[in-house]
Amino acid sequence: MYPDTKELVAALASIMSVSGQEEQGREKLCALAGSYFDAYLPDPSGTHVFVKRCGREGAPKLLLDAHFDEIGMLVSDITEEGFLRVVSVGGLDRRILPAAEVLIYGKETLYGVIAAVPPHLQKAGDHKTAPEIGDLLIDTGYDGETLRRLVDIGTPVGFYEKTASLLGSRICGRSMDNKACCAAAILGAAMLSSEQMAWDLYVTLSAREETGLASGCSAAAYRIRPDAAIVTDVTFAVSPGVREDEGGKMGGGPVVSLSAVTDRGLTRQLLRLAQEREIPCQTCVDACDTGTNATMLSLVGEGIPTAVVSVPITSMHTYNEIADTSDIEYAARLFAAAAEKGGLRL
Amino acid sequence: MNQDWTTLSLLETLSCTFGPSGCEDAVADVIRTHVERYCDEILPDSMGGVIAYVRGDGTPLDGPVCPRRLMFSSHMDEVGFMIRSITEEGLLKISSMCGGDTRVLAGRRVWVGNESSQVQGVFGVKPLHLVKSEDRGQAVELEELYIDIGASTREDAEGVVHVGDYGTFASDFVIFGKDKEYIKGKALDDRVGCAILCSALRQIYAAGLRPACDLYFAFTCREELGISGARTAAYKIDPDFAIVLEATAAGDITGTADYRQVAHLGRGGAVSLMDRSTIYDRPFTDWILKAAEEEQIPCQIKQYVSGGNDAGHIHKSRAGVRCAAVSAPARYIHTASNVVAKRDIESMEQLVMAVIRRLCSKKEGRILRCEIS
Repeated sequence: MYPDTKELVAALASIMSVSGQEEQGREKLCALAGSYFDAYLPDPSGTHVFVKRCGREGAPKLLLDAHFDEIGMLVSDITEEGFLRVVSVGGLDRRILPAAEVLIYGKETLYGVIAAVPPHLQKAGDHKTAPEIGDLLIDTGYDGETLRRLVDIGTPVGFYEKTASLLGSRICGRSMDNKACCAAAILGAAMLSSEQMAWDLYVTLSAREETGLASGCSAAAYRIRPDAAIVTDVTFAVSPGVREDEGGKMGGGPVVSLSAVTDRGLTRQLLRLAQEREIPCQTCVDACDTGTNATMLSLVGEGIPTAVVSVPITSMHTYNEIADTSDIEYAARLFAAAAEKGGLRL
Repeated sequence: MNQDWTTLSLLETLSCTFGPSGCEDAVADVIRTHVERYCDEILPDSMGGVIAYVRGDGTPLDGPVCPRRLMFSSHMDEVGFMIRSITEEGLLKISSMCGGDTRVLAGRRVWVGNESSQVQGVFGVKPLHLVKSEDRGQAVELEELYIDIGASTREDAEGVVHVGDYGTFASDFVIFGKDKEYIKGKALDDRVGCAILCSALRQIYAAGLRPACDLYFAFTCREELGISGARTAAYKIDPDFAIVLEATAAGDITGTADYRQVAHLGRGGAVSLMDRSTIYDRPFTDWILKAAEEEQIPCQIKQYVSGGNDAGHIHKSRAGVRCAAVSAPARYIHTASNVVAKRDIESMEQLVMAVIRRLCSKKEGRILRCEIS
C-alpha cells in the first residue's frame, strides 16, 4: 500500500528539521518511512539514508536525494521579560514574520508568537519596512527566569503552521520545501518492488541544504558512491512575480532542470521515460545553477551524473508554502520508473 | 486559577467563528444560542447585533441620575478583508478591513467565504529568492497581496468564492506559556468581551439576581470599521449608563518604555480615562474603580491615549450616555495572533459581576447616585 500523499507530507513536515538538527528526527522518520525500504543507514553528516535493493549482486546504485532540513531560527538571547531573540538559519523571509507563530524546541517544545509592534508604537513609515531578524522578539508567555531553565542559547525554533488542504489537490503549510520532495522520494520507493527494480535505490534525506553547504548530501554520496543521482527539490511555481520561464506550473507535473551543471544524458533519459510512461512533466532552464544540492553532488568523488527533478511550490520560504499533491505523485512515479527495469540506463 | 470552564470553551468557539465586520451572523448565532436561556428577552437589532435584556426589579431608585437602564457593549466583529476581484489565474485580490499595518498579512492562512461557508486560503508572496536584495526589507504592500485558495482558474475560484465575500485570519486557539496562563487566537478583540458578557448573563441567571435597574447586554457589529452597530443599539436601548468591554493593544514587551506600554497582561482589565473617541465619565469610572478596589479585583488604568471603541458612538447617543470602558490587555491585536492572559479575563468577569451586584442592592445603587451626582 502507498501512503496517502497529503498525510505523508503532513507527517514529514511535523518532524522538526531546522538545518543542523536533522538527526533528531531519525526515530520518527524511520517509523514513518522505514517499512518502504530494506535498510536505514545512519550517516555522520546527519543525512538519513534509506536503501531499497533489487536483489542482484553488483547492481548499479541510483541515488535519489531530497534535502530533509528546513529553514528556521536559533535562540540567541533570552530577555528578563521572557522574550527570545533569534538568528536565522537559512534564507528566512523578513516580510512574513510579524505575528507569525513558532515552536521552540527546548527541553520541552514551547509555543511562541513573534511580537508585532502595536500601531501606536510605530513611527511614520514603519509599516513599509519588514523588521530585521535581529530585532525580532518571540513571546513565549514565560518569565525570563523560568524560560532560561527550558531554553538554551542555540535552541532551534521552527514555524508552527501545520499542513492543510486547499481546493482540489493543493496543500499548504510549513516546510513543503523540502518535505514535499522527501514525500515524493519515499512514495517513489513505496511504488517499487524488488523484482521490478534494475537499480539499488539509495534515498538520501539529506542535511544542511538550506545553509548553502550541501554538506550532508555530499558526505553521504561519498560513502554510497552511486552510479547516477537525481536531486529532488522544490522550484518556483508560476504565480504573481514568477514568470513561466522561472519555474513550473502547479499541477503540471515535476519540473526537470535543463542546466549546464546537470548531466544531459541522464536528463534526456528522464524526459523520455516521462513521455513513455505518460507522466506529466515540464522543463525549466537553470543555466548556471539549479539552486539545489546537484552542483556539489555532481562533484563528489570522481563525479556523479546528476539530474534535477523539482516540485513547483508558491510562496517559497514562508510558513505557508503551497504545493499540489498531484505533482508530488507524478514525481514519485518518475522516480519509480527510473529505478525499474527498462528505466534509466548506465 | 479557578477559571470558569464555560468561559474558556465559549471563548474558543467564539474565536474560531467566522465574523469579519459586516458578516457577524455566525458569531451572533453562537451568542444567541448561548444566552437566550439566561435573559428575559433577546431584542431584535436591525444591524445584526444581539441584545440580551435582563429586567430590573421594577422599583427604580429615585433621583435624576440613578441608573434606569445600564448597557453593556462588546463587539462581535473581527478585522478582516473583502474580496475585491478574482484574477484569471483564480487568485483573490482584497480590500483590507484590518487597520493600517498590512505587514501581518503576507504568508498567513485565511478563511474566505460568507456566513454559511468558507474555504481556506493563503496570502501568497513572491518568493524571496526572486526579490531584488535591496527590496527584501520592504513590506509587501496591499496592492501586491493576493489570496490563493488553490484554484487554477477564475471559474475554479468562482465555484466557491464570490466578489464581495469576506475573509478573516485562520488561527488556532492555543493555550500556552507558564502555567498555561496565556491564550492566542484570532478575534480575541473583542470576542473576549463577548465571552465575559455571556458569563455575566450566566451568573445573573444562576444566582437569580434581580438588579434594581434594567440591564442590556449588546453584542454589536462593525466596530472595527468605526461604523458602530453600538450606535443604533444605544439609540434603541436608550441607556443612561454604559460599560464597554473591549480588548486594547498592550505593548508590554521587551524594549518598550514603560510609559508607552499602554497596559500589562496579568494586571486585570484596563480602565480607560480617555482615548481617541471618548473622554469617559469620570465619576462613573471612579465608582467602578472603587468597586474593584473594595473587592480586591485587579485592574489597571489604560496608560496611553490611543485607539477607540463603541463608547465613541454610545456616549453621543440621544442626549448623551455616561460611559466607562474596561479592556482586556491584548498583545498583537489586529493580527492573527492576539494574545491575552486568562487571569485578566477572570478579573474582568469579577469586575462586571461586582458592578451588577452593587446595582442589585438599593443601598449600593444609591451610592452610585450620590457619588456621581
